[in-house]
Amino acid sequence: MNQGIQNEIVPTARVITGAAMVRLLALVLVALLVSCVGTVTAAETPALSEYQVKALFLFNFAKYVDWPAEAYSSDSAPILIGLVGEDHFGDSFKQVIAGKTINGRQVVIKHVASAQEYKSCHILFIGASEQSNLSEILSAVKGSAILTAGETEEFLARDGMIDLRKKENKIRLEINLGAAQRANLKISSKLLSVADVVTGRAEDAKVN
Amino acid sequence: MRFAQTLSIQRKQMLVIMLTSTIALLLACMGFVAYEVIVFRQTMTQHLATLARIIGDNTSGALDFNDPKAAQDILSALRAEPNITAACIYTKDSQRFATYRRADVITDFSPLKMEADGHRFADGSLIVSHNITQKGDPVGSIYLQSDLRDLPVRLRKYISIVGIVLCACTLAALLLSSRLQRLLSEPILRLAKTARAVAVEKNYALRAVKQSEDELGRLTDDFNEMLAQIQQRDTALQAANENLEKRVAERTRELEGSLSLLHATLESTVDGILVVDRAGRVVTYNRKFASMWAIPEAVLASGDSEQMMAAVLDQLSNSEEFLRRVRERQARLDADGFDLVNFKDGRVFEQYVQPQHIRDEIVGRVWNFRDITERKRAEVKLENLHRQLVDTSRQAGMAEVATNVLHNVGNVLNSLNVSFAVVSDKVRKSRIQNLAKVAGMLQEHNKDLAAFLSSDPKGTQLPSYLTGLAQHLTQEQAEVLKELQSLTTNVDHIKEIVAMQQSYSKVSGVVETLPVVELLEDALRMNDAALARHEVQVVREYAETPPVLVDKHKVLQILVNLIRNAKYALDEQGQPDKRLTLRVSKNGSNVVHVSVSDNGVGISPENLTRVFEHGFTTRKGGHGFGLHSGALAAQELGGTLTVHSEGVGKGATFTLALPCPPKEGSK
Repeated sequence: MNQGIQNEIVPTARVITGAAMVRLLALVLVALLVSCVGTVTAAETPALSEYQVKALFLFNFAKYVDWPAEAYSSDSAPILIGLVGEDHFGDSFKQVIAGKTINGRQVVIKHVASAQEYKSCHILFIGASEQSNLSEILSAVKGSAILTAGETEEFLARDGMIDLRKKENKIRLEINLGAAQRANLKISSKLLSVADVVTGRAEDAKVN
Repeated sequence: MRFAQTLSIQRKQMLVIMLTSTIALLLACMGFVAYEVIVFRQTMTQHLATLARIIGDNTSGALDFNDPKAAQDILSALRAEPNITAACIYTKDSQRFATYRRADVITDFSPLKMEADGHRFADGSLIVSHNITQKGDPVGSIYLQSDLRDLPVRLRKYISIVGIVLCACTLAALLLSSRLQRLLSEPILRLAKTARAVAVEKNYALRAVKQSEDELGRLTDDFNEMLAQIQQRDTALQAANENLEKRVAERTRELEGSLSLLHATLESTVDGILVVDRAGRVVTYNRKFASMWAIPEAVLASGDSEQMMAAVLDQLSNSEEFLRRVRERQARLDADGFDLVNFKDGRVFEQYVQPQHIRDEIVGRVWNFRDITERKRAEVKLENLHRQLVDTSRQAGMAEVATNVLHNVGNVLNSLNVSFAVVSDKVRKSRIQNLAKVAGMLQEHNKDLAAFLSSDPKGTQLPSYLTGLAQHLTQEQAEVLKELQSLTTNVDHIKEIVAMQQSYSKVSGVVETLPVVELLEDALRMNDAALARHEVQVVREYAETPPVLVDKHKVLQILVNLIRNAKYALDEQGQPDKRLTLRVSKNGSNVVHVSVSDNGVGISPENLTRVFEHGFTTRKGGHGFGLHSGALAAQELGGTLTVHSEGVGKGATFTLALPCPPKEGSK
């Protein structure tokens, strides 16, 4: 024990005994092995496609946004992500949501087309293909506690809440905090901190 | 601990106290330090874990939305924690997401994969891991590594505190114990001092001073009590010792006395004495022994009885016999023995051997030698002398017998003489001549006998005269016959005396069963004439008695003697009333007493005891033999002859006690 304490107290002037040497060697070996495994795992993981990343982000939004209690029909009611427009996701969501829950709620992906269906969602992703119907869709859900996400340039200007756009080969987040707040949604500062652009704060200040 | 044995009790006590307190204190300090170290590590771990959680939570957004830069920025805030050497964030797919290194750390931080929220001490560092989750969903993990630089610093601080405390405490303990140990050591030292004083001075009157009421006080009391007992015993022992010494001295003196007595006795005795132990070693001997046996000095000095024996063997006339006897005696330790030892030069030793006992145990044997050569010679001489004496005494005896015979015969002859004188007187004075005269007258008148007888005056008186003469002659004849009868009896008695005297020299005469009265009458008759002559009145007092078993002649002789003695006694007294009393009585079942009493001169008391001695007599012309032989004869008959007299002039009574035969034989 004394030896152990000694080792810990004085790391600079260390006398490497036989036992310590063996221990050191074992440590180095294990470290090597683990790092190898790490690299192999990294190599095997394929670079995610744009929509895979978007699917992941959409799912992750659920973790950083708080809906008012009325948004759920019951305590175990799932979180509904509605997709509007042309579906580029394919099987992406399957991997993302498989066996996962957020605060005990399951996440369900649904393609929606009518205003009625929009309103049943918690997160509504409006694809680029619906650029023309954007105002229509957004106005349909306006005032409801629905987080709207889009992928077009004018999405925030049209009072959309989060814009996911690929820039410099990376998915960038732009958030219209004012729109979210008007919809009675609370977006975590952690989400805000990773967003490229956050708008609506000043407006928020003006309102208050 | 060996060195501690030589220390004084004070030092030992100090040592014990100091050692105990120091070790206790040291242990306590070590525990304290160990506790501090553990607490330090726990605190550090906790601090690091908190840090990991905070940072992890803050980086969850960056992880979820794939913003390593944001994560990196957050990690950079760790610069404020100088102990943290490295940090790193992994995605949930175990891919490195962001890392942080302290400026001085050059090695890459690639921690081992750990359980969620764990910590590990390795190589002087602490690694803490934390799994980052967002609303229950795992998003990645964070690892923080911290060095343990603070620990040695703290430890050094602790040790210096411990050192100071230890020194202060030891000093305090030293001061306290050096004062307090006196409480214990002082009474012990005092006790020890007293004990030492007692031991050195041998003075048991010393006492230790009691100082407390604890065990030491009790020890002091007990010690004092012990001393008191020792003192008491010492005194008693001394007294006993003195007494013992006195007694030993006395005993020694006594022993010396008895030893010198023994030696003197041993040396003064005419016997040669040799004492040998069971093994045959000589214990002691006297000079006489050595000189008797002519044992050389060298052999004496050897102290070996076997050598002594070997040295003397050739002096003996029969050495083999001697050797055999000695061996026999040696074989039986407990037995006494007696032998004669004959020497070639004619000496004869008596040899006694007897065991020597100490209490009941036989420890050896005592050999006793007596030179009896002279005695043997004397014995031979004595034997010759004896033989001569026997011859002489036989002759003397014969003379005595002869005296006796003559005496008795003389007595009888007296009676015989008297009878004879009477007879001859009677015969001489006999009227037988008258008868011759008558016969001559008748011859004269032969022719005219008838005329003569009828006419002659003489003749006419003749028939009446003849008748008277015949009567007279007849009377005379009767008297003579009577005397002759007495003569015959006396002659018979003489014959009997002679026969008796002949048988007297034999062992015993004929024993018969006889009525005692008849014997007494016989004896009386033998003295009849003498008694008649001296006008002695005889009184008979005969009781009914059984017959006695006796030798007739012996009894007769005794009785005749007694009657004659009585007659002499009466004669000597010379008084007119001379009385002889004869008594026969029964005394007990088997003894008959015959007593002859007279009222004569009597016997003076001083002579009473001497009357039965040989040669004692008070009578002129007496032999002093009668009563002596009478007493002897009475003894031979199994009876006794005793005398009784009131004194001179008061008469005497001789009593002959005779045994009766048992009743079966009395028929």
